Amino acid sequence: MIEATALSKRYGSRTAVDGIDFTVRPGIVTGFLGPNGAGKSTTMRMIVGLDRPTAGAVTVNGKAYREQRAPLREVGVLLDAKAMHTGRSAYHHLLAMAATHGIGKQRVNEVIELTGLSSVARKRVGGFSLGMGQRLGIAAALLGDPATLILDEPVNGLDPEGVQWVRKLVRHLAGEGRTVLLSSHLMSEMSQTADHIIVLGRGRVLADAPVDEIIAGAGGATVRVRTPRPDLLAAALPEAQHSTLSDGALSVSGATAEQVGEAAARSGVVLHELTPVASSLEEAYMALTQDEIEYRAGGTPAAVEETR
Amino acid sequence: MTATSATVRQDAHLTLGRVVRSEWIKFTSLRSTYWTTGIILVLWLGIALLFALTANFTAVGPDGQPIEPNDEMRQSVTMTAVTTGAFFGMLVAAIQGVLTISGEYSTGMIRSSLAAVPGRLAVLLGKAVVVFVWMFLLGAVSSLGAYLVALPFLGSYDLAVPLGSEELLAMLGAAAYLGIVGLFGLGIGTLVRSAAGGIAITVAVLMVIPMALGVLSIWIDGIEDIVPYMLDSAGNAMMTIPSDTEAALPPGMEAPTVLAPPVAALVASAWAAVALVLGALALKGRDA
Ligand SMILES: Nc1ncnc2c1ncn2[C@@H]1O[C@H](COP(=O)(O)OP(=O)(O)OP(=O)(O)O)[C@@H](O)[C@H]1O
Ligand SMILES: [Mg+2]
Repeated sequence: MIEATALSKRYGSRTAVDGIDFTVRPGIVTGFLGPNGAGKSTTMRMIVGLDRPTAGAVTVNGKAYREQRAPLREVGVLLDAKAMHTGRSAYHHLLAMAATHGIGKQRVNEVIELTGLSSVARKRVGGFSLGMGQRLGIAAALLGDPATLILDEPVNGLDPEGVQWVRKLVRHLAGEGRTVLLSSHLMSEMSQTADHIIVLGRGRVLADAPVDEIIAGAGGATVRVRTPRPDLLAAALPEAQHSTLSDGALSVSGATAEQVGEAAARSGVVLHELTPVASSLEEAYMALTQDEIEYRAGGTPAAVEETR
Repeated sequence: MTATSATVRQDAHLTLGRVVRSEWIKFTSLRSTYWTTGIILVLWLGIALLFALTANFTAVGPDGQPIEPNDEMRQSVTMTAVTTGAFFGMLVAAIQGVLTISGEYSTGMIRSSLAAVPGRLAVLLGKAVVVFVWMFLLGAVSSLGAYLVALPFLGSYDLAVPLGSEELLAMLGAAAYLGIVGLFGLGIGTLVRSAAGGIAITVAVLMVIPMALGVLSIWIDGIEDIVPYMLDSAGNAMMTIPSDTEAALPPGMEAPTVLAPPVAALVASAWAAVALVLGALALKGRDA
């Protein structure tokens, strides 16, 4: 359980985290979303005592992280930037980390095995690829068999097999009753992995809800309909909103596929297509954060050209 | 595919001793440690050898005639052979002290270290223990090695003394000084967090400022009173056997003040302590 109350962080005049409250509960995977610079990594660093909050507090299992007697057993953390000495081997990195808590070689070898690093464990970290470094970071986070896992963009740089492995791993860990908080910019991945989502934007919490609710909140599901008489169908569904898609089909929101079908039957409208379309987490996320993006790309090269 | 582990004992937790052990693993698992160690050994023994080879020129009077060595001269020549290397060793030891922490900042390792040990000060203490013990042992091995390397040549010129308690105490001083300089570098490195800045400051304190003071003391009165309290002068005093006979100096010239070895050890330790305390305050207060 991670609990933040009025948590704030300012760097000089820049407010990175702006008085946020949230709770990350055990037994589920909580996804941490937000545009670049939203304050996700800063929040994670504050949870593990690396950055000191300007105001407010955050506790892990009821205690400030700095007061934990066995930090590695409480929280395993993977930070966004590589946090290991490039001149040391993966094995010695893990061995040194483990030694602080009296955790032995056996566990070090176990996490090396688990993360698939056996063949490179004795090599210096400086020569590691992005994905290998990421695996080593995950291995380090798992060292203390922690009750809480905080993973900042864990799948960044991983191959598809690695992405799938992380998804299974965090689901499994949450299933064991652990607390899991992970950030990612990959929405499809997040929607498959997380049960609950916290969305940050400019240091504030924009949404904090189960994944389904987040998706439903952004207009929810729509129904795609093709009919020669859209006007009649629209009249038969006075409660629903509808718009015409670029291929001529009708997009109906505010009504289920069943309601649309029944309305069509009642008014004798012929339907050529009736498809429920689930809205995606990505769409919901975009809708939530469109006003909160600080670092917006300049559009396509052509568009940039035109504005000159 | 489970991460649940029977190999992590339920009561695994932080202790100071374990943090020291962790720092020992970190220190001994980097190549740079062996480079600096090798450089110190080679420099120290090499200088002892060079000095010993040419030591017969020391035993020449002002008139160019060989003079009969006495015991005081034998002791002085032998100890010069044993301890001169320390002045190069100290620079490398200070650099190693700086690198022990600056390397963690430049690579990001510091975040892993401080996440595992959120109290933070234990990390610095662990590093201090490891750096001191390593440098102390290295200083002891180097000065003994220097003696052994120099002995055959000094002996052939009748300029060697056997190792008595005075000589051993001076060697102990050399070893302790190497450890203290390592601590000084560690403290400065923790304070400034960068290798370049840390090395610049330690080299300034150990070499540049003493040289500048030496030059300034020609013009400005009172500077020569500060000089003995500089880190490098105190280090020099720690490995010097105090002489009870006044050196014969031309009239009008004063012998430079050399602190008694125990006082010098206190002064040098104070330099390291101040650097470490400043480093500790910075480490404790800053975001990592
Ligand atoms: N050490 C620091 N000093 C100054 N500003 C910082 C520091 N760390 C973060 N910031 C600023 O705080 C804000 C939040 O950054 P943070 O890294 O927490 O965002 P994020 O949500 O993790 O973004 P991303 O998705 O790009 O990883 C940014 O504007 C960043 O520039
Ligand atoms: Mg980030």
